[in-house]
Amino acid sequence: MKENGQLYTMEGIAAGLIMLITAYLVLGSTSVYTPGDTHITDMQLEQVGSDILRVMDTPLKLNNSRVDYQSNQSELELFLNTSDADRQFTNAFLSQYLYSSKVMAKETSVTSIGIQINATVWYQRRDGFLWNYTLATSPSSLGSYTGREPGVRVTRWVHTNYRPHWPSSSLSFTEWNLRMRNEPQELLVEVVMWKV
Amino acid sequence: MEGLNREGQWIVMMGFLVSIGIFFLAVIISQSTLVGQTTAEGVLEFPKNDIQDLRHAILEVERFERQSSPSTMVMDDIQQEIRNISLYRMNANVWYNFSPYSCSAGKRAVNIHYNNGVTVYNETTQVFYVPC
Repeated sequence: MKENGQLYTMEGIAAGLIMLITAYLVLGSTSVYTPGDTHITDMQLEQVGSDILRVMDTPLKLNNSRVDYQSNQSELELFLNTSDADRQFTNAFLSQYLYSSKVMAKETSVTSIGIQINATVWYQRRDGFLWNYTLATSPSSLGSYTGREPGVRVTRWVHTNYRPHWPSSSLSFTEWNLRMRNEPQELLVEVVMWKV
Repeated sequence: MEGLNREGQWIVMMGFLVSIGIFFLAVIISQSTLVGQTTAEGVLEFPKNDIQDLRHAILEVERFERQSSPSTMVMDDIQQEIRNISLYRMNANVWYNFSPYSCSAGKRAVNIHYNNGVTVYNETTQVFYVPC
């Protein structure tokens, strides 16, 4: 047996092993990203939504007086205290803020295509139970309930000095007055946003 | 190995070195997607907006208590509302308290605790106001 080929053989085996392991690692590192995996777009929508709620919760008139808390009502508080919240909230959220902030790639009308919202208010009843009612909802047709992308949920705590305006859809007026404390309280406004 | 030329040893050694270098680069590249994904998920899962919102709400409750001096019952109800709604709607355990209010002190401590099972956030902050 000749000794000549030993080094070549060893080198060949070593090189082969290195190539195999490298190929294995490289092939193993490729990952397929499906749209469902990428939450980056959700993150942007969520940020925009929560920024809008934050803007809406800023007092309209900043009063310097230390005792005059009442006049420092935010837009969100006003929406809670009106019977016309459905239209006003939707209008403010979509037309006034979302579409004016140049978030959309192209100009779209609110009703035809774009982002739909559904806002609910969560509150604690006098007896300690949690209840909710719909503050505003934008979908006008059945088709606009289906989204292209997963919906996101943004929330905002709102401090009110009185109970919110009676939501005619949920309870009778007397029951509402009976169950809601007419005192300063914290409510959670929850908005679900989705692209249609 | 006598039959081999001496010059060839350098070629063989350099070949080994280069291939080992490439091998390590491949290891690093294979880790990069994993690292990128876990980092991005860590950022996405962090409830930044929830915490900022809660922080704002609690500081506002503090201001409300200081300026309107409501009854203890109202404050207890508010505490309960924040705790219950956080628990039900945000999957988070929330607890807060304020140090006793004395107008001449000009400042007050606020403790905020937030825990949603993944993220734990504790904060003690000072609120300053014009002393009497």
